[in-house]
Amino acid sequence: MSISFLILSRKMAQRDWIWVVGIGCLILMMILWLGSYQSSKMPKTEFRQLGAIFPLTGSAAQIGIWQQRGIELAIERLNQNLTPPAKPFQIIYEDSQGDPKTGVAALQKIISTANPPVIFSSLSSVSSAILPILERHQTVSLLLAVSLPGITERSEWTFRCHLGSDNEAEAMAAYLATTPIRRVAVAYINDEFGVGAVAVFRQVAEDKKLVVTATEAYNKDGSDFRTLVTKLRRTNPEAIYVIGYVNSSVLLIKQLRELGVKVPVLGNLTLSLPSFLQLGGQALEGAIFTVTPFDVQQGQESPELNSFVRAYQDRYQEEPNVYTAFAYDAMMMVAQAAQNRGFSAEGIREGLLEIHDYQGIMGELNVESNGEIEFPTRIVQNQGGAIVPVESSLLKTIE
Amino acid sequence: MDQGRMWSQILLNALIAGSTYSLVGIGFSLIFSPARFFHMAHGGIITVAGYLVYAMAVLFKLNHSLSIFIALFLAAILGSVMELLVFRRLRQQKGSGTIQLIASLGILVVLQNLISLVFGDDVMVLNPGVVKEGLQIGAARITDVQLGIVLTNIVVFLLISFLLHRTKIGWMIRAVTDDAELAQIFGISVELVILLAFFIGSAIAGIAGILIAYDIGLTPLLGFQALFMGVVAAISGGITSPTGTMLAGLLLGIIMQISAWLLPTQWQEAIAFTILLLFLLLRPQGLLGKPLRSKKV
Repeated sequence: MSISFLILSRKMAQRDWIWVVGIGCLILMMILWLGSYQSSKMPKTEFRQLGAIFPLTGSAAQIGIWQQRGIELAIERLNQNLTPPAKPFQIIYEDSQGDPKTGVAALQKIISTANPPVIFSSLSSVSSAILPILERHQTVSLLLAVSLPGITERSEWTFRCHLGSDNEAEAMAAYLATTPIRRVAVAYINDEFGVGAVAVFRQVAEDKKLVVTATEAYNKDGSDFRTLVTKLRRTNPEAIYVIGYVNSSVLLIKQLRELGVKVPVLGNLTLSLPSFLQLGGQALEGAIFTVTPFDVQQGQESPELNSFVRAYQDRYQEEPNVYTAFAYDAMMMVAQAAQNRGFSAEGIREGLLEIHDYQGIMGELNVESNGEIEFPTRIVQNQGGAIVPVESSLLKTIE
Repeated sequence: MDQGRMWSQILLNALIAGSTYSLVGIGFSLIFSPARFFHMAHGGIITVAGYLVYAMAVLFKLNHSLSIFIALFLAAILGSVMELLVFRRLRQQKGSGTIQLIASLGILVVLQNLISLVFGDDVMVLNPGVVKEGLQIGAARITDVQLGIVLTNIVVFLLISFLLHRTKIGWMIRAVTDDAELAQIFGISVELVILLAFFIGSAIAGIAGILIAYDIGLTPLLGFQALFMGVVAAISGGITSPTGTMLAGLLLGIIMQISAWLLPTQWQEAIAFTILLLFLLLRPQGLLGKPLRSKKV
C-alpha cells in the first residue's frame, strides 16, 4: 500500500496536492460541524447558565482574571451547597480583550449559544457598547469594574457592583479641599471610563474651589508619555491626578518621577492594587488613592470573609483584592435573587431589586432602585507598598 | 515652567523617541535592502530579545550584562533561523514579496502569542521598583537608559555605515540591493548576503528591544508598536538608506513630540500615519533613497 501511495504521490503534481489538502480540510470542517450539531442535540447536564464578558487578554487582562476568580469561587460554593432540584450554576466566559467591538461580538456569541438571563460585564467602554443589545434582549447586566457615572440609568436591566468614578472623583476632590492643595492637573485614560471620571472630577473640583490646571488624555496601550508629562508640569500643578486602570497608567507615573516631577500623585481604586504598586515601585511611594473598604485582615471578625480569603489563598497563593470581592458578592447576590424569584431574567431583576442588608464579604450591601450597589469611599496612601489611611498632614510636596 | 525649559525638554523627548525609531528602522532596512520584503517578524525579534533578558536577568538572576549579550546573540540566531527555514524556502518556491510578508506577519503573531502564553500580558520591568530621576542636561532631564538609547543609535548608525561602505560584506550587501541577478553573475552568493543581513539586522532589533524594555518595560506588543514607527522612519528616509532612516527617525520624533504638545496626545499615531502617507504619495523613494527597481532574487 505504501508503494502504491509513493507511486501515486510522484504522479501527482504539486497543484493536485493543493486540491487534495483543500478538499480534505473541507471534509474535516464538515465533520466538525456535524459533530457539534449532533452534540447540541444530545441531552446535556442541566446547568443554570450565566454569561461573563471579561478582558481575559490584553492590557486590562489582570482585572478580568481577578473577577473570573471571584465568580469561580462563588459558583463553587453555591454548587457545593445545592439543594435538589436546583441545578448547578455554570458560567460561559468570553474574552472582550478590553475592546468594545470584541465585547459586542462576544456578547452575540453568548446570546446565540446560551442566551443566559444574566451577563456579567467588565470595563466601562465594553459595557457601554453591549448595554443596548442587552436591553433589547431583556437580559440582566451586572457591571463589574465599571465606573462610568450614571450608567445604570441607561437600562432598567442594568445593575452595578463597583465604585462609580463619580463617587471616586467626588471623594478625591472633597479630600483635596481639606488640604493646602488648590491646583490639580489630570491625566486620564482615553476611554469612556476616563472621560466620564474627568468630567465629574472637573465639576466637583470647581464646586470645591480647586483649580484644574490641565486635563490630558493618554492611550491605554501608550508607552511614551514624556511630552504629556511636560505639558502637565508646565501648568504648575500642586498635585497630579492619574485616572486609569492599566499598566500604562503606572508607566505614566514612572515617567513623571523620571522627569523630576515631585508633586503628590493621586489615583483611583485600581491603581492602589498590589500588582500596580509593585510595578510602580518608588514612583508610587506616597501616592494617594480613593478606595472602597475591603480589608482581608477583617476576616477574623467576619466568618464569610474569613472563609473566602482562605479559599482564595489556598487556590491562588495570594491575597484576594477588591475586584475579586466585587465579583464574588455580585455572583452571590444573583444566586440569591434567582432563589427568591426564579432563574429568569425578569425574576433575577426583581430579586436583585429586593436585596437589602445583604451580608457580603464587602460588608452590608443594598441594591438601590436605580440598580446601583452603593459602597463607601475612603482615602488611603501608599507607604512602602502598604496601603494606610491618609491624613491631610501627609499630603505635602515630596521633598 | 519657563518656555526655554519646556522646549528643551520636548526636543530631548524627540531625540529619545527619534533614536528608538531610527534604531528599529536601521535594522529593518538592512534586511529589506537585499531581501526585498517587509519583514514584519522583525517586531517579534525586538520583543523576544527583551523577554530573553527578563528571563535571564530577573527570573534566573543572571548578570545583566551577560544576559544582554546572550539575548543579542539569540536574537541574531532567531532572525537567521527564520531566513533559513522560512524565507529562503519561499524564495526557492518563487514566493513573491507579498507571500514572504504574509509569512513574516504569521511569525510575528505566533511569537507574540507564545510570549503572551509564557509570560502573560502584564507589563514586565527589567529593574522592578527602581525609579531614577533623570540626569539634568541643561534645562531638561534624561534617564541613563534614554541616554543609552541616543548614544547606541549613533554608534549603530556609524557601524552600519562603516560596514556598508568600507567592508567587503557591505559591498556585497549593496551589490545585492542594487541588482541581485547581476551580483550573482559576479560570483556573490545572494543567499549568504541575505542571511548575513538577517543576522546583523536581527541583532540590531535585539539591541532596540532590550533598550526599550529597560526604558519602559515589556509587553507582548512591544515589538509591533516599535516596528510600526521604525517602518515609518525607514520608508520616509529611503528604505535602503541607513542615513535617511536615521534622519527620518529623528524628524519623526520631533514631529510627533511637537504634535503631542500642540494636539491631544492620542493623535500621535494618526500623525505618524499621515507622514507615511505623505511620503508614499509625494516622495515614495523617501528622503535619501533611490527609486527601487523591481527585482526577483
